[in-house]
Amino acid sequence: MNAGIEPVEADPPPTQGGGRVVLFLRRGLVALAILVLIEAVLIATLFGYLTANQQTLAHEAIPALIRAQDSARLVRQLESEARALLAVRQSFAVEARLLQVRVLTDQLRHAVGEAQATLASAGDTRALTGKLDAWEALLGSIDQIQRRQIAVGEHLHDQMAAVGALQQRPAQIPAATRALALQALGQLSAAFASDDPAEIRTLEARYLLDLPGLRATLPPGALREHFVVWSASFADRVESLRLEQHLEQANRRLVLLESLVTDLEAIAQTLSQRAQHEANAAEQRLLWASVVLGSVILLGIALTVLGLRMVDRKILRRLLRLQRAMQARVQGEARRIPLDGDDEIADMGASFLHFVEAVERREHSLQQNIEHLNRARASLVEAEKLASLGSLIAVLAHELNTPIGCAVTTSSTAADEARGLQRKISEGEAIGRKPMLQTLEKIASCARLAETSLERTAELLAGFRDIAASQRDKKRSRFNPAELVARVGQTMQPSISFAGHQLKLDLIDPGAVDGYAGALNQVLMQFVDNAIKHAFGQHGPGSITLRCLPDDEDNFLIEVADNGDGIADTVRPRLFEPFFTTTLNKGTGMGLYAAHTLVRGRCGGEIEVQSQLGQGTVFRLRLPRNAPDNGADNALAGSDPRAA
Amino acid sequence: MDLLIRALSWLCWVGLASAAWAADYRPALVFDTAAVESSGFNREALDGAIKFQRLHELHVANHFLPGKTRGESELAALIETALSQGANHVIAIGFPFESPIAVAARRHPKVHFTLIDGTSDPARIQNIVFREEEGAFLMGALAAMASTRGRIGFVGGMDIPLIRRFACGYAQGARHVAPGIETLWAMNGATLEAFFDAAKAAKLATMQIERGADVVFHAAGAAGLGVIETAAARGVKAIGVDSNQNGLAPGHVLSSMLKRMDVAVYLALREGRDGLWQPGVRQLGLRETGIDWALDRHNVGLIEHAWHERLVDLHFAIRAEQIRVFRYTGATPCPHLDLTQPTQ
Repeated sequence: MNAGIEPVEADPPPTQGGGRVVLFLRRGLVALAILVLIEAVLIATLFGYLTANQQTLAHEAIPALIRAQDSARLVRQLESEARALLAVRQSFAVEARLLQVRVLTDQLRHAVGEAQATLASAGDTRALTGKLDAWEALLGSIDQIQRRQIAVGEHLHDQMAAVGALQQRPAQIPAATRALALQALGQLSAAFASDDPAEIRTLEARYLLDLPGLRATLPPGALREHFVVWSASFADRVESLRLEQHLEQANRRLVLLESLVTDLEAIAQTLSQRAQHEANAAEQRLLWASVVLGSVILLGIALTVLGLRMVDRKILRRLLRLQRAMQARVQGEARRIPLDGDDEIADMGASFLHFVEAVERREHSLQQNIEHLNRARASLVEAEKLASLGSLIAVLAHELNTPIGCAVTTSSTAADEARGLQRKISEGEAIGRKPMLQTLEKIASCARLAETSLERTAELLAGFRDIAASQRDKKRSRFNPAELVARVGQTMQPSISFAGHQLKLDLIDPGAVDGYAGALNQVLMQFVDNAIKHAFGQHGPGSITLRCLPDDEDNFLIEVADNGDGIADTVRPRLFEPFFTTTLNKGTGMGLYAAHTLVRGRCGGEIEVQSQLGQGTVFRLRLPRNAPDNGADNALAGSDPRAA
Repeated sequence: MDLLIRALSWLCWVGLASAAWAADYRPALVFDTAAVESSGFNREALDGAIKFQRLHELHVANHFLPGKTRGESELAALIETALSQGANHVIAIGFPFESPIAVAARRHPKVHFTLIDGTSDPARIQNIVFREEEGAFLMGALAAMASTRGRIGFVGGMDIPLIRRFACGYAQGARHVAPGIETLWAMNGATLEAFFDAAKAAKLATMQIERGADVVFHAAGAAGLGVIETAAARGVKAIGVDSNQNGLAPGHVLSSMLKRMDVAVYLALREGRDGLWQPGVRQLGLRETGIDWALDRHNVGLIEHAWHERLVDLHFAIRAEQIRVFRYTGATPCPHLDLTQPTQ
């Protein structure tokens, strides 16, 4: 049998590619990683750059602006304090005010000093500190002038009071000098009243002209001394006016503070502009950074898309195509395996193709082998059939040999006897009645024997024909097995009753089936007949039960059970062999063989035998609800009686 | 400043009290230019009129000379126009009116005429003049204090005694502070146009600066702008005149000598309304706050405290007549500056 299998010639496996896809993917991944890294670094750098510049704005420009504005506010406060200072005419009030102003000035100087670090230019700070110095100088001078003014003013006030008192009571003045003294007093009070320093100086000159006369005429004492002392009052008055003018000018000079405010405001504006500029620059930078970032991201996206397209074109689509082609090949379509390129995918395709071709070659050779085997089996079956037929014919010949031989012997004996008799008669030999009768008796006996033997032969041949005939019955029909069983029972009832047995029917309708009712009918009758003939050898009359019941959705069961002797273990294996019989005179040995052949062959069922000595036997037929559509071709070949 | 405000409010009070008398008071101001805004001098005069008008709710007619020609006949016609419109007190602003107003005064004896900043026929006309020399003196002292090179400059407008008076007082003040200081002087021309030719004034200032002057005082009216611009461009200091010009080039204008035209105009209007008008010559100086100098935020940083104190003392000394400032009239030569030949 092995001679038919062709050896599969082994193709050399495809050579390995250069690992190009792996290399491509690795390179792509590395490039992607580098791209991501570059973008991350770029973003971090931009972020740092932006925040660093933002810090300049937040930490320098804006606080400086706030300081400048604070300083301007401080200066305004200072201005109002200074104006109040210039208005006061009492020394303690001056001190209190001055203290306040100095505190404010210190604060301002501090503020300016702080601002210095961030101011627009060194020139601005110089101007500011210069003005602050001028302001402090002004303060010092105001302080001085105020004090002097107050001192002079108090002094003048006393003298005015004294002069006024004297003018009120001129009687205190000696009469001789009264006129002159009153004239001098008039000059004094005119000087006190005048705001014109030139006029006061004129009055002074006149007073000084009168003074020698007064000194000469007034008696020594307080009054004379008073007039001498009062001569200084003109100068005091002028000094008072001078101080007043200074104060007035100091008041004008308070514009210094206004200019300080202007400067600070200018600085604030510069800083504000700078802050604005910074903000604008930051905005510009932000814009720029956004553009750069956007471009980088777009570039990244573009490169990624490009990479993906490449991967798609170079790998994924080819993989997909390969996979589909492979699937199609597996499903049997004759599709070409794409083998373009010289990378792993092409290698995979080549390997698969190699594998598939090898498999196909093997399959082809297997198919050939199977066909070979099938042919061998068919010839075996045929041989078996022939062998079976041969054995059947051998058995038949052997079986027929005895009666035919017997018939031949007896008929030749009878012929011999008849020929002897005939010769005797023709020769005129006297034949006695008795010998004559004896010879005739012999011939008759021989004829009877030959008849019996030939009857036997006919019987054997009829049985054999029955088997063949039933095998040929191919009428397929739809029938109810329960009804069929009942009919068989009805048919067999007389025979069963005649033998003294009892028939029991146990029917559960399994529904209509599709099969060979005639064959089944014959089989059942055969089993019932078999039971009548063989089951109750030693036991008295018993019962035969016919059962019909459903088995599963494909099969139904029919049982022929008896409560007879049972079948001996020695007999059972041979139960369905052809021409096997336990009772030579009762049967041909073909009944169960025929039944078995029909059940297994035509009906496509199985027979199961359950038997126990002394208890009875059950023949169980498991039959398909839908009988197979095989012919009788395999009826003999397919059945192996020993298998049952 | 304070004094001025007090004076003005006092004047205002008096004005209100005598309002009943002034029912038919119809004053008119005449200006020798229509470009009042470009000249601080005229602007101040107009301000005085506006202040008066606001305080007393009395209409003051203003007549401006149209066109560029400033001949005497045009000025006379302007006065006649004011008179024809019913003015009974004509106040002429500036010396160019000196002879036209004299003619008009002779022709209209019942009308009151006041000439401000000029002198004409004291028998018929009320002349209000300024003691410019006092202000110029202070500016000279200031220039001397500010000068580091020992040379200061003066650019006058029209070469007339009035302008020379500035130069003389300026030189005197400078010498008072720094006896060795040299004053360069120049005049911008011999006609009225000299008060308007800024380019020429700028040229003169440039020459003085190139010769070492680091403070230049101008008394050139509108032409003085050229001086200020030049000084600012050259990095030296200028001193303005008439009105406060500190703001024209902040940081470069040391100060401005103020001729308080507003005070003079207000004074003339008030006296006219109160029936106190009388012919003659009235001088307004430091004492009357008719003359002053500007101190504001633009120049306060330029003037050191000590300078300021010195100026106040000088101011007071002039008030007290302890310092007598020479008033140049042309009769006697300036003792402090050789005015015969401009310094080239």
